[in-house]
This record gives sequence, C-alpha cells and structure tokens, in this order.
Amino acid sequence: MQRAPIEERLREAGLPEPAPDLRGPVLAAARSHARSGVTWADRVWFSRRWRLAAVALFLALAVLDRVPTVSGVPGDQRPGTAAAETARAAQEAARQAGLPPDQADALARRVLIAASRPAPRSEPSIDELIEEHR
Amino acid sequence: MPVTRTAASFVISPAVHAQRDDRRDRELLGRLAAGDGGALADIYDRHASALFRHALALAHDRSDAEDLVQSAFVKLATIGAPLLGVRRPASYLHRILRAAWIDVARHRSAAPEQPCDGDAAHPMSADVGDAIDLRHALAKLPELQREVVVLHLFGGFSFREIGDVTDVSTFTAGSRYRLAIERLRLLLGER
Repeated sequence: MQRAPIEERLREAGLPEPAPDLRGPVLAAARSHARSGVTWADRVWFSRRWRLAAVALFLALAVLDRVPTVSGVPGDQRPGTAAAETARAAQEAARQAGLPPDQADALARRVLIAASRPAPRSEPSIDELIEEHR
Repeated sequence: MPVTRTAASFVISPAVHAQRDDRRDRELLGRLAAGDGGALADIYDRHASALFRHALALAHDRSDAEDLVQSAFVKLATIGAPLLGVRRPASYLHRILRAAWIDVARHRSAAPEQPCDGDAAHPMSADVGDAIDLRHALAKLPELQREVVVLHLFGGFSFREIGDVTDVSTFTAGSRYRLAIERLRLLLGER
C-alpha cells in the first residue's frame, strides 16, 4: 500500500464537526469582549492599502518638492550664503573701523558683486598684467 | 491499481482549498475591527469547523477542543484594529487557536502529549471499520505530526502556511507530515 491511499482514506473517514450548540456560547462570549472602533491612525498604521496610499502621497510630495530645485538654477550659480556672510562681515568690520555707514554699505555691495563674478579661468599672463598697467 | 508516490500526494485537497476566500475573510476581519458583531458570526460559520478540527488535533478531549475554539474567538474579538493588517486570515485564525492551546498547556503545566486508545475518551472514535482504525492511528501520532496532517488534509493548508501557523520552516512542516504518514502506515500494518 502506498501513501496516497492512506491520505484518501483519512479524508473519507473525516473528523468530527463542532457541536451545533457551540455557536451561540462562543459568539456570546466573543461579543462580550469585542473591541469596537477604528481610528484614522489605526487605518494608516495597520491597513496595507492605507500604508501604500500614505507612501505614495509622501513620494508625490517629495517629488513635487524636488522639481523646482532640479529644474531651476543650479546650486553653484545661485547667490551663495557664504558670499552674503562675507559681505555682512565686511560691512560690520568697516563700521567698527569707523567708516561712515554709506561707505560700509558700498563695501558690502562690492563684496557681493565680486562674489557673483565667475572665477578667472587661469592666472593672468605677464603680458596681460603689463597691458593692464599701461 | 497501485498509486505511485508522487508530489501529487502532497497537493492541497481542491475541495477544501476552494472554500478559502482570503479577500472575503479580510473584509470580515475589517468589519470586526470596526465593531461589526455580525462579522464575528460570519467568521465563525466559515472557519469554526476547521478550527475545531485543529483544536481536536491539539487537545485530546472534545470539550477541551471546544474551549480552545471559544478562546480563539474571544481573543479574535479583542484584537481590534490590528485585524486590518492581516494578510492571510485563515492562517491568522489558526495561529490564534494555537496560541490559546499553548496558554492552556502552560497553565496546566502538564505534558501535552497523552496518546489515547480508548473510544470513550477520544473524539475520533465514532465511526466503524476502517475509519476507526484510521482515527485511532491518527490519535496515536505525536501531536505536532497529527496537527500537520489535520491542517494539510482537512484544512487545505500548504506546508508553507502550516509553517507559518506552527512557527516552523516549510521544510520542517513537510518533514513532519512525511513522518506522520510513514508512522500511520506502520500503525495500520501497511508496511
């Protein structure tokens, strides 16, 4: 005799069913302990569908937040905070040195203008320096 | 006609498997979590038989099995919102039942394995002839093996699902089943 017949015979022999009168007491006992109410936070935390929706929303917001940064001016061409800090420091130093406020402001503006200019590609040659001093 | 030993002998019973409807069960669990008591009755009607058979495989007494089923449903009713996250309701219900059985065994602090031969004491002894032999043989199995046989043959669970229910690997569940069938064959004098 092989394995399959035993399995088939076991299925045919079957197992006892619960007594019909078990249903009432079981449900009564369970209902007396039942918890009710699902909050919105519960749905988000426990429901896969809600979690996926929350993740999708988060990703959508993240993408929308990044789009202006990606499509806008590259970071290295935007006014840098370092230049602004330097300008403020220069302005403050000029004031402490006793310069009038309008001259301190002018100095700060020159620092900002200098910072916004592209950096020289290379050191000027000697000919260029001589030409500059003529 | 002799039947060869093939993987087909491990296939879930189509008739039992067809009764599983996870989507419907998840919907019922969601309703139960929201406080719909009617969902509890529907869950009982859909799963009580399978849970009772599982309980019989673990307990050795019909009244103990009924107590286990009741404990499982009471526990189910108290869970609340986490029911919303259940992906495999049938396995989940059987895990609850098994946890209830473990609690009972701990409280009794007794050896859970008590093989029983007598018709009067064991619930699997009502029929005659071959069925009596089979049920007696099944009753003589170690409970972990008997549990796998009952879940697989009568509950329609795959070995992966049984592993999930019993906290063992798929391989271990299948191994227990194979050992159980071998032992049944020995007990029935078929080898």
